[in-house]
Amino acid sequence: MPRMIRSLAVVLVLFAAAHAWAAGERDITIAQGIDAEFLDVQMTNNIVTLIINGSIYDTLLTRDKSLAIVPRLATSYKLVSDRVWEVKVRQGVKFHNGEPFDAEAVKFSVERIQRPDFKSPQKGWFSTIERVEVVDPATVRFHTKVPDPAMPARMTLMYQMAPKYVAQVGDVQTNLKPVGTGPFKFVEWQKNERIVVEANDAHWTGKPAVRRATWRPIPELGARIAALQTGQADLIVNVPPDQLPALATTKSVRVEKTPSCRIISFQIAQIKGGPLADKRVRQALNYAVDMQGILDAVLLGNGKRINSWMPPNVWGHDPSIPFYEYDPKKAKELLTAAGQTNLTLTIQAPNGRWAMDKDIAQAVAGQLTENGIKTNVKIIGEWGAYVRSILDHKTEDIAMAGWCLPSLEPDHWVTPNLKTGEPVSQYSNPEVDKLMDQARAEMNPDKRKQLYSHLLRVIRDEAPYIFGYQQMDIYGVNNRLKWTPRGDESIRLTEIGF
Amino acid sequence: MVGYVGRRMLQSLGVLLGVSVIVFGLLHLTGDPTRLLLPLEAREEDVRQLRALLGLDDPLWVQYVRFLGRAVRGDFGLSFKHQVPALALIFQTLPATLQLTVAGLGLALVVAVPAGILSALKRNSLLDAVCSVGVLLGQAMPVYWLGLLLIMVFAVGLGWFPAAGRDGWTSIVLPATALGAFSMARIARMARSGMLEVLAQDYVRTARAAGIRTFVVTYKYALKNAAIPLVTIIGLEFGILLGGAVITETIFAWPGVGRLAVDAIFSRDYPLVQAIVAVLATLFVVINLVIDLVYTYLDPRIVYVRSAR
Repeated sequence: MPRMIRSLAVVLVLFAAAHAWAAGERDITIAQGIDAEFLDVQMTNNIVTLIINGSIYDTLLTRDKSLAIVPRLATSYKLVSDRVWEVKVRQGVKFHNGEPFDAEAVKFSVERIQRPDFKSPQKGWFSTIERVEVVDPATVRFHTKVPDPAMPARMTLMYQMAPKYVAQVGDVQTNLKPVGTGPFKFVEWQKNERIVVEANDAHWTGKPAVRRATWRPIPELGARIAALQTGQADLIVNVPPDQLPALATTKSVRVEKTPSCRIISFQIAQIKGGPLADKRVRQALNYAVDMQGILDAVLLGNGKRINSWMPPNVWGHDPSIPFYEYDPKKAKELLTAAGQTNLTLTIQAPNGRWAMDKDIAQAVAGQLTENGIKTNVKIIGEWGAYVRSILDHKTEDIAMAGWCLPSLEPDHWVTPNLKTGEPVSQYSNPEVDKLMDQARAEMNPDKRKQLYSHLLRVIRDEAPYIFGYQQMDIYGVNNRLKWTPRGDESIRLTEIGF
Repeated sequence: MVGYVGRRMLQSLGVLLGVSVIVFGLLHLTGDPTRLLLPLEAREEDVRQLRALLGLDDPLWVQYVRFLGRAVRGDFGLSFKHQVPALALIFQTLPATLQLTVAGLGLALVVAVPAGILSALKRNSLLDAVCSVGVLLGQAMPVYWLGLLLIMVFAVGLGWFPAAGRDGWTSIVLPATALGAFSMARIARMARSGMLEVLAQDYVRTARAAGIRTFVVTYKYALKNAAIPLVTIIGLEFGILLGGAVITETIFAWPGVGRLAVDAIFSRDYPLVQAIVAVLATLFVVINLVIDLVYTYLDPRIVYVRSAR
């Protein structure tokens, strides 16, 4: 019997080894928490899905590693008038099926999203575009309904579709067998199992170092870490800080971190009225929380405080705006001045949406209570229910909130979250509304930056949030990969070397 | 027999109809899915447009009748979230779940039935005690804990099996073990008690007294009779495992229907949830029917006839 077990073990080990050798040296596997929702890139706004699609499709513009906007399929762009952007498109580029890419493809791609019967969640991204005009095969013009300084940021999300291919195979097949101009070609998609892409050596940026990449959804964190430790995955995402010691025990892997575009704070329901409508109370809440202490204790330092409602890596952020420093005395004074010395509040938080979310909410509530504001925590574990409470404006007094949009456009942080009547906004202030409208329409970049600086200062003073932190994105990486992470949560296969 | 099967199938249709009403009602109670399908910052007009496109602005009964009309033709509509036919998604993932269920149950049977019989035959022996402890452990260990433990020991520690995913036959060993553990315990307990009961029967004593070999008495006479409750339990276990592999599938990143169902529920993907429930309920009903028919083989005294008035 023991001999049989030994033989079986040997066979299994040999099998596993053979399996490992079967994969090429320049093939990689990336494990994320979920599968792609669509491979028809225009059908999604989910960041994980966009990351995977980003290897198959190209956009007109893109973000470099410093998150600055740089050319991609567009070689240049300029303002013809306040409402007209002219874009020159790259020549000689072909889709994976051989179809040429040109200005007509750009027009087709935008108009496809705008088609009323096309269920794209990207409609809002391009809602300011009135029409697309093809000037010649290398030139296209976007006519906007209003002056829109965010157009370049929008162009970083304008994924290019192959018009003839889509017309020929239809929307369902476009999703199942995607064709783009990107640096990788689609190979296979086994739902919830894997998505495989292979290098497109004909790509205009040259041959990618990675030959073949497999995206694997591994929802359970323990299994994802185990997959990295056993070499089954080369790169894993969303490693929570408390798991870092576990990864440190494996010599073949390392940890990479970067501050993310995602900011997390505690949204105060000002529109509900009552004590929270008083600015002094909201400011007091900010002074009563030692955010740095919480970040150090709960996230083990993996988070950076924010001074207002914008992450430092988004254009428009102003580092000179002061933080709310921990000052319980000042908090008490403000509460006394507001006549709110006997306040009881409830914070709602999700469980597992952001790293250690529930624990951070509990720490914040603990500190508020310690400083005389009795605070309870209500955990809403199911994300759908959580979202509904926000959209129905039925949150508790304070709701934990995280935000990051792939456009990295400053207006997309402030307007949806703070403008009167926006679905997510729990705040209303005509002065802030006016400032936001001014900033979003200002075509002069310098003036626009000044407007955002002023706006963010007002927001800091108005305190519609207990300002939290910029999340740290933490990855586990096999040492055979040369790679450092980006601040926009994206993983670009072309940035991976060996 | 044919009449019986026909009657049972008609009853099953009633069951499936009932299930569809309950699921349809419960799903719609959970709220409007359009909000979850669109970005948080989406405007009200986009929400209205999508709601109309998905047919969610019709009265509930109209939606149900439309759903039923299509469902009887095997068309469960497009998944809200994935925009592909719901049934196609299920057929893409069902083989993985069936594979895992058969492997888990197979493993459970191979270990549990002999263990149960042996511990009944050697009652109060050391072997019986070991089996009882095993049963207790199997039933007490939560599957997620066992799953992670298996990954830590056999994937990370020993490196024998992959930690996650569905790649070749080695990848099924750990999830099947985790999934089968609970059933293994239940089946072993059932086999033991069933055998003990049968072994105490007069006809077993008579057979032994007549000088028939113990082996024949045990395996030909006793086991066949002890198998009736066992078959019931195995059938039920198969159904439970089919629908209940969710946690195992999540831990081991096994691309089955369970994970698909959980995702669909969380994103309020009505057509997909309805299709999954319909397919699983049909499988469950069919399994039950098959079990009832197996009874007649095991015990010829069980005859299905129309009851006399």
